[in-house]
Amino acid sequence: MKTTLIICEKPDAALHVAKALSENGEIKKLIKYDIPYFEVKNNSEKLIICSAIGHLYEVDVKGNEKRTEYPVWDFTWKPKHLVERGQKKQEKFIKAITELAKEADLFINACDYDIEGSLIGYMILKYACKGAHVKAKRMKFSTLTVKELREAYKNLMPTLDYPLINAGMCRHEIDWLYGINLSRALTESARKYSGKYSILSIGRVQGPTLKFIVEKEREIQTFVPKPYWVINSKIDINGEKFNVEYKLSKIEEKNIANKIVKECFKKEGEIINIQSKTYELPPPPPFDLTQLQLEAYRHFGFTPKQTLDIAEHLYLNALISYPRTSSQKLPSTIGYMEILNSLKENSQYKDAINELYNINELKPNEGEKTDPAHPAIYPTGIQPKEELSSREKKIYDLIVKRFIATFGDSCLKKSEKAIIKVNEHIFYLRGARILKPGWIKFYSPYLSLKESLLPPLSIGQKVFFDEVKAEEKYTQPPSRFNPTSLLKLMEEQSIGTKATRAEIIDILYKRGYIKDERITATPLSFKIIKLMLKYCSKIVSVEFTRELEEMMKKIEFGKEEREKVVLKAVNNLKPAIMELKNKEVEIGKELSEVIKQVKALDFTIKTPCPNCGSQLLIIKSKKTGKRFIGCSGLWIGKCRFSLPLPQKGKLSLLNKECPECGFQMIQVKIAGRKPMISCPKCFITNLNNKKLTITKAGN
Amino acid sequence: MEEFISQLYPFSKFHMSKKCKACNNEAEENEEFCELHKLAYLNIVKAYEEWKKAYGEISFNEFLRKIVEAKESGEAVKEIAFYIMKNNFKVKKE
Repeated sequence: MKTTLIICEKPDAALHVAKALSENGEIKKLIKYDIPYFEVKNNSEKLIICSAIGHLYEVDVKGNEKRTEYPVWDFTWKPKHLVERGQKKQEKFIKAITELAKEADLFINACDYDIEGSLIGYMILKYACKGAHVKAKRMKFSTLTVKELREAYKNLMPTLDYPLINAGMCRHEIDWLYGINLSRALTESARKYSGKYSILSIGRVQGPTLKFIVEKEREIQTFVPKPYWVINSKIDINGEKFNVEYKLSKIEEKNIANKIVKECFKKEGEIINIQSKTYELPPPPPFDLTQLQLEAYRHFGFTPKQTLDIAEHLYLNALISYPRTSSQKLPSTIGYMEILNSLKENSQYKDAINELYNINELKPNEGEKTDPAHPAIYPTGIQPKEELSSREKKIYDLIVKRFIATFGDSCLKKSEKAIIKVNEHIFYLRGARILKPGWIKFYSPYLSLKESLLPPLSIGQKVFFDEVKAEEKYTQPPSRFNPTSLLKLMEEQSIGTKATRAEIIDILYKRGYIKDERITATPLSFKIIKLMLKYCSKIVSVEFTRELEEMMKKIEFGKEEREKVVLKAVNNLKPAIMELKNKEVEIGKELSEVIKQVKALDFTIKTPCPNCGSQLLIIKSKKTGKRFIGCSGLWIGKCRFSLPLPQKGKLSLLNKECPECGFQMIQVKIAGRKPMISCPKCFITNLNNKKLTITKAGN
Repeated sequence: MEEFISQLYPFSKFHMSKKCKACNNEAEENEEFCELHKLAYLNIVKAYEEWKKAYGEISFNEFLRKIVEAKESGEAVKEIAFYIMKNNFKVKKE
């Protein structure tokens, strides 16, 4: 009997593959080195289905150089547990797969069909299965449904997908070369100068992304608003009040605004024209990963990383298709009717789907984006076997409703505009009504259109300007990025991949380069970008990063060679690293100073001491080990002001002032509990008042 | 003690090298402000002309007071405006 070893990317996927390929439904769950794997029979063949847990191999320096030395140009692929700490489990997976490979005649890579999945499977086959990659086949699927897995097993690709593997290897190797050399250059410069160790990193995608944020921060911090005036007016029609807009949305001079008010207030106007327009709002395209992340942030506040993690979990439960896709296409081969019929079993979607069946042709409104490996994200129709968490329910519902909506009719909307003239000034009275909701009904509550109905109007009708005011306003600074708008910009600028962008944003937070949900760049990020621009501007150049991305993309289609791209990247990196190495002392000095500043800012309260106006700091008492807010005036014997702080949990200072007293708010996070946000000053005032009340009551 | 406080609070007066007048960070070469505050300063000078046109007439001090109070103004702009007001700093026309 022939034995085939099937390698999946994650244990959950391995179970689905085993269930789908077992001819009699029997699955043997076995354990080797604490790692579960499955055995099933299929056409008198023995199938062993095992899994990895993501990457088991990683790029590392060739040889055993010190972890602080740079530059390093020689690299090799090594088992992950030999490169990173805390990867014991990965070692067990490699051992188990190596053992299982000994009894196999055939090998199949059934990892996710994309760059990472192809690379994970290839490395395991090459190293753990001792060169089995040369004879291995590839299974290609987009959902973990029984039907698609069986189909994929029947139509195996005869060899591994080498263009994807080469693209993956190239990406990992270039990212490693950039990451290790630049990060070591920064970290070591700072360490050698100050003797203190702080992890500082910058990478091929991190650099340009951080540059976007720093540039935006600079714009915001140096923004001087300009005044302008808007005309707020109300008219009276048959005793009912309506807001009307002045022809110009902004008046740039105060005198002109005042003149308009003078000439229109309490005057009678006349409707000189009525215009109406009917237009269609076509249904939205199905979700690609970025659109899903944007929509999930808008409605639920989930970060891109959270959305990706939830979507992956739904995929591993066979509820949705593969989420790491950039496609907005839904080919008919996925079986629209079958999916909709299955979704109908859920009462929540039944009415919408029944209504959809009344539409003549079942055709999704596809978007322009494509992905050679996967279709857009869609629900498989399989009902959840276990209760989903509230977050999973939200993402699942969003995906299902979006899927249904893409098949809907266009929404028909009518807009109306009455043009009113008063003393040579023109005002608009606007209204809008929905003639046919179409797809919007299916996508509720994620989109709802507001109607504003106008009363019956006629040309020549007189209206009275009851209220006309000039309101002074200021121009707004550019809006800050949030994790999702940053992700969108990265995609628009073609830097990073759909799979890595969310993680890169997370790293920027972890390194202390950015903070808050409405992203603020810290002084450290200003310094890093300044140094990069001074010594190696190409590293943070969007154009250069995009050029590399395009070359790597070409490898995926077999139109570029991996070696050539890596060499080009190294040739660009080498002079930059040498320049950093030569300027180690200057760079170290600048970095050390800013690190000190940033650390101090973590302990400095923005609100001045209410007693003496000095700086307030978070201090840890050497005597008691307790933390509290103390006045810096204490050290010069000037002030003894202090406030107590919670002793447990991670304390951070918020960019928010107390609405009651204006003191800077704090946040305390304790694992497993909701973060506590409070004002340290009001807390103690309230506590004292309470004590006073109790004492008074006692007396 | 001075060294200790300057470590805790790097913007303090104990730093001796050429510092930005608004924030005590390192100033640009031959300049009175750091890069960020210099840009904020230039933007303020430029904006004053636009404000004068918008209001018909507005004194420089009134203009500074308004931009310090406006929530839309950048932090660096507020710091520079505050510095100019506090120190009667003479604005150079660039």
